[in-house]
Amino acid sequence: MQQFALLTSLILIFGVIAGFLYVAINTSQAGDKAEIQQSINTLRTKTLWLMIGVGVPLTLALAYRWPHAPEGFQGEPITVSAESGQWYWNLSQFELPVGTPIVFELTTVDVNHGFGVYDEEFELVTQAQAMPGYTNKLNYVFKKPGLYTVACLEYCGVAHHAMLAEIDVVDPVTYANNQSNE
Amino acid sequence: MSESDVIIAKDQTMPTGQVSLIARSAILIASLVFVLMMAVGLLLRSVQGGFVTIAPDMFYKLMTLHGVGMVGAAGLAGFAVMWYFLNKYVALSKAMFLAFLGTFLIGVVVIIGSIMIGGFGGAWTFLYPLPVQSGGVWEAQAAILFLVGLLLIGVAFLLGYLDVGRALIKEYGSLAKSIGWPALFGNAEAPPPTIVASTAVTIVNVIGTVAGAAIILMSIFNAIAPTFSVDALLAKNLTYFFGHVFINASIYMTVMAVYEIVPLYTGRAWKSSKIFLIGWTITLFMVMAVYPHHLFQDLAMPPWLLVAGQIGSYVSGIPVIAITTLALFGYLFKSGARWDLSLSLLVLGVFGWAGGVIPAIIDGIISVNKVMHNTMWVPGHFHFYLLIGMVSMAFGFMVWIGRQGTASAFRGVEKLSFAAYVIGGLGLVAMFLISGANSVPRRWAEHLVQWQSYSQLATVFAVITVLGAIAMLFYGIAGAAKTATKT
Repeated sequence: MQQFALLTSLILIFGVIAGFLYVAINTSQAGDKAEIQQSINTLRTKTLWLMIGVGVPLTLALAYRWPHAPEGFQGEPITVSAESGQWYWNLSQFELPVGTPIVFELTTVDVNHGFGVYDEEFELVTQAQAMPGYTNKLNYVFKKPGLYTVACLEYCGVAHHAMLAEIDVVDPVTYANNQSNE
Repeated sequence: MSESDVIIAKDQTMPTGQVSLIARSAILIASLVFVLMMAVGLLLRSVQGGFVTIAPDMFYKLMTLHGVGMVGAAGLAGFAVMWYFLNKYVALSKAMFLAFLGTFLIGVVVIIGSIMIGGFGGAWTFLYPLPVQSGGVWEAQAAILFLVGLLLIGVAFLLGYLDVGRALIKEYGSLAKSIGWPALFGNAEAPPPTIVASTAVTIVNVIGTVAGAAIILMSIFNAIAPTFSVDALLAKNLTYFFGHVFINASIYMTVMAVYEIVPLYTGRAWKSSKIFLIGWTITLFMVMAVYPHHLFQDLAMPPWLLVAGQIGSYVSGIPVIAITTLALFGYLFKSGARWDLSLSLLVLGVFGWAGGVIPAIIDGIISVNKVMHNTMWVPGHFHFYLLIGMVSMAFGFMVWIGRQGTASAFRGVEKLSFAAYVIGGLGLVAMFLISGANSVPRRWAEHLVQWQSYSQLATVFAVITVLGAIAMLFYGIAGAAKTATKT
């Protein structure tokens, strides 16, 4: 997702750069004002139709499948309470099964915090805010096993960057065995 | 590009005398703050890169200073640009501008005191209840001082905007007329672009500043008497509504320099066409409606507001790209305009604005935001349209106002300084965006080892940017000094 977002942005940004460079190298010449105005009006009409006609339905389509309800989120979920405070995470479970829907119930005892989940390669896989007075329910399905890191993603004071926790994501059989042994 | 001298046309309708002096002073103060805060930003990036070590509390204090200083300077620079050009068309009160500037500067002193003496490090966004719940790092008094400083700055801007609103109504009869609705919906003559844009800015910033003042006051009450608690979600909504409107308005004000100065080079007047009027009317509503895109990860928000935020984010970008940018292209293309420093900075500014809108729109998609929110992607897009966009336009205005009517070649050393600013700025922005795409969080005093190389490269680009910006400030001061000795 992130690399796709970067690539899309870069392509569009290079398009804007190309437009500015083209105009910049043609600025010092003289040209027919009325003719240029006519071309710009045509270009503007096309751009507006493109941005409205394609862009608006696209943005609507991107919100159609609700982004806060992840793919594969079916069946009985496991609920994990995740209480935050300056500067700690207190999770009801630090071991979770892969491929199972999880609902993280995010709360805070003091200020706003951000519950950011990083995988083993330190790629951010999901996040939601924890805010005073509310319980935010973050739905997620871990796609691969491994040691995940919870990092704070809302600035919360002097030890914000050190507010970390670990979640061990294991296969469902190991998870079930460990649960029954407890 | 020609090496020969360009005589910057001196438009006889441009304000001179005291109005020019006041505007020049204000833009120089703002630009000085830009450069100082850039140096602070450079330090922050070098700490994240592991080049320099400072304690986390100092990092977060400097981060707060950098944010609040930049936002304040952006507001001041924008207001100076708008105020100067508005004087062409309406009668503004110089006393009111000085009251604005005086109150603003008192607010600045109070804020610096709260950070550097009081130790406040709650970030410029003062997200309730962090200012008063610091985890024992700073006292409630420091937070109160910071908030009072912000309130003073808010009052300063309100004074300024109320005078602008008064002058617009006096001249045009109503704000509906000065934003061009009789021309949009009928056949009346449209007001000049600066008037249309000023009206939109005045409306949104009066509302935005009042919303900001409301949450600041509630936070102050909470600091004095903790039993007065505020709903955290309401507080967040108010904070981001205010912050979003204020920072966008600073760009809208600064772009008036493009409307007014570019025609002096191209000989093609910037017109209030129907599409221009539609663009500003859409912007008027959109800038107030899209702030929920800052709250996509607040799952207690009503989903329809989040969807509205996503669509609004996209729609907000349309006027910038399809109207402002293409209009600029039309005015510049084969106009015979000669490039100099001022024109280059102004055009760079529009580029920065248009370019920065793209990663902003991408991050304004909820599913992308899920893995991009509060990563370095966010400072990536706003540095794009503020550092390369808004600040370039402010610098362009500063250089122009000090040189109008004089011969101005685009000298080699100026080209070099300009190139430094462009390359440094683009490199810095690219490093933010690439870091964000690689999940590096924003606002972290210490970075993991695997993230440090991004910050190290960013530090190099930041050094180049600061050198370019110092040169711009030098050209601004030199121009002002020359004008001062002439008058």
